[in-house]
Amino acid sequence: MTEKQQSEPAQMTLPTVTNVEIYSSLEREDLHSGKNSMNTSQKKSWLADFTQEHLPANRLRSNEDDMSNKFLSTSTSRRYKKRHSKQKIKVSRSIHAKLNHTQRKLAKDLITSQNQKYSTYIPLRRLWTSYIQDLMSVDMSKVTAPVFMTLAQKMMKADLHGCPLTVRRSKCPGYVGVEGIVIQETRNMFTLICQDDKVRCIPKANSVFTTVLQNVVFTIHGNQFLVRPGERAAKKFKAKSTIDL
Amino acid sequence: MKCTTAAENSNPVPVKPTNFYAEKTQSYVYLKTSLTIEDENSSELNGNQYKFLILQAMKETLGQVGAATPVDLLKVFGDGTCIIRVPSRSTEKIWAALTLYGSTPSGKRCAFRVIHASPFLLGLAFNSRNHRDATS
Amino acid sequence: MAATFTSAAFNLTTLVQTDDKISSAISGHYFNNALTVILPGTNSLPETVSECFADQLAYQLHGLPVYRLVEVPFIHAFVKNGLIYMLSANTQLDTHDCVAVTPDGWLILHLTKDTYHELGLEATKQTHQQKNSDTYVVKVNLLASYFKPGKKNYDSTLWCLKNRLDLVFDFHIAWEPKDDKVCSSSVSAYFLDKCAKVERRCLDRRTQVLTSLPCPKVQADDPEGTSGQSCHFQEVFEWIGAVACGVDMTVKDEDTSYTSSLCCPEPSQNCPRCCLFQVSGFITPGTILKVFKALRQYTTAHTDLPPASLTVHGFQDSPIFTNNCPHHLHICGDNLMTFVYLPSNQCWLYRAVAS
Repeated sequence: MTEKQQSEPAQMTLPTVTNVEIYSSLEREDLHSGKNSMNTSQKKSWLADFTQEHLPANRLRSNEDDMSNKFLSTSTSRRYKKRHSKQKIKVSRSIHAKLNHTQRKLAKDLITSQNQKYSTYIPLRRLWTSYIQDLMSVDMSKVTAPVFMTLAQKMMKADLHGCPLTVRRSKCPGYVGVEGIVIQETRNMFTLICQDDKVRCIPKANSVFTTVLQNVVFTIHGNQFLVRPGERAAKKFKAKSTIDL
Repeated sequence: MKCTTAAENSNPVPVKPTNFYAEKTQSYVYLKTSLTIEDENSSELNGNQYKFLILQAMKETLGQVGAATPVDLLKVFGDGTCIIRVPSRSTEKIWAALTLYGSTPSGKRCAFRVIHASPFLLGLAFNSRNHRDATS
Repeated sequence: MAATFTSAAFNLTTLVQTDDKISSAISGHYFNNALTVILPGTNSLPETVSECFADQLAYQLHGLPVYRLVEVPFIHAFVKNGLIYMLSANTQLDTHDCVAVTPDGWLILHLTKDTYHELGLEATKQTHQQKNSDTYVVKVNLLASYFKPGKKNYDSTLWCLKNRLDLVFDFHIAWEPKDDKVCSSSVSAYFLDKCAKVERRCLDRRTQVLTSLPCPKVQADDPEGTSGQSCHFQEVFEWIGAVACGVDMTVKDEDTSYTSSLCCPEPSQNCPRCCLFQVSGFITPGTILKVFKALRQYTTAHTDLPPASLTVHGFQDSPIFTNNCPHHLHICGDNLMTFVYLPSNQCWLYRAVAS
């Protein structure tokens, strides 16, 4: 996201629409219990207590003057270090895995759930339309060819949740002609909800998508778009001369 | 070449086997070519002049040995097109030689164009793509 | 390039003239562009042969959208009640999309890669060669029991053809009704308001009389000419081609052999008069079958003459040739059949296909 988008609250709500649900299940009571009412010193002591309580014993400093970690210890062999770092990664991985698991479950529910309705996503589409119009900051009804390049640049960085997409062409003929609102974008997939209340997952690879804004048609070449939506904002796209499926 | 006695015919009166002969490769390829010469009406060319130009073209690109490939000029049409027969093994070479030929010995620019190529002479009798020119 | 020329399929079958295989070979070759009849010993074409073309009706439709071909009225009126022959005109198989409707009820779309990716109809790719090529063949069975409105397959096919792309073609069309009371011109009346223009396609006929033509001797039971009393079947085929193209085949002397060394295969006999009849247009297999039978009557009455022949030229740009085999065009798409009438009720059938 560019800075401009962050400054406007209407746009900020957008990427979090789906995320609120995801993180709501991760709330921990101990992180939230009366934290805001404490002042700085209180917070510091509370944190010390908290770490004493929760961290594993070998991670704790027994003494303030302990110099053991100021010098290279001969006793700590490389292998020990290695194993240690591995453990660390394991811990972090398990957290990710946990998060991924819940995320995945939610994502799966999003796709497989029977009671997804097209009508529930119409406000999202409206929101996206206003967002993209703000982002483009030009009158879409009378743009001329020279502006197209900058418009396309902005479109590349934009968030596409809520965007009405059509599969224009695809290597797999079954996907051709699918029309719907983007409810999820991942590295390799667009998840669309179609007008017949069905959720369809379309791989970005080997497909070409279009979206229409008033009288401007944006074409998204899926093969060049294989990036996570978050990373896409920062990615530098290269101009390609031949575009073939 | 293979020869198989494949199937019986259904008619019971003249009982004769159906013989089946297949030829894997055709020994000749037939090219229908047109020749255009700058400032000159190529339809006035006779067979000998046409053949001479084809041999010139082959000599220029393929050398003396390449030009020794037997090429038969079967027919010259009035509009500067002709049918030539070349051995199928050297079709590509001769085709390329004709395409690369750019000027006659008298210094005029000229061009051979292969309109139709077929391994069967009967195939050149009709060109189903010609209807386009006739209708439009 | 070399591969395509050497892979040209060419074969000869010896058959009895009344064989079912002949009629199945003719009726399996749906799209015929031209006929060549070589008839030795006569100055003009027999009446019985020229009569065959009288009730042959073919039309050209200009600017017909393809979705009209999957509409129910069309299928009911023409595909189910007769033999329909439709082939897109003015399209080249190697660079354009081609469409054909065969009498056995298949709509065949031979599509380029770009069109296929945008159209959204599934193509069947069976052979390795097809998988590597950039063209896609979509086949729609118009006569299938599930192919009717309300079914998913029908609706999606109609939607794709109607809304995705503006697939509009010119068509050659001919129809042979099952019911004799129905005139085959009703197909043009049906399409009158559905396309831009309907034109009657007339046949282009040419008759030539060739004098003192050398004809090769042919023996039915010795196609390879091992005994020396007859010519090799391949030489005979070349001779037929040379006659059809109007190539001079008199024996060459020293001076004229500079240009060409082609001459009539030995042993040969001189034929004082020979009729060469060529007709081109969009000819239905039904007409060809009639011509074949008329010629058979003629040749059984004149057994002392050199063998007559009938050649059927297919369209180069037809997506299929005999028996629904897919056809591709690489350098030339010649597909033809030649019948040589031999004495004692025998017949040679040459089939030649090149891609």
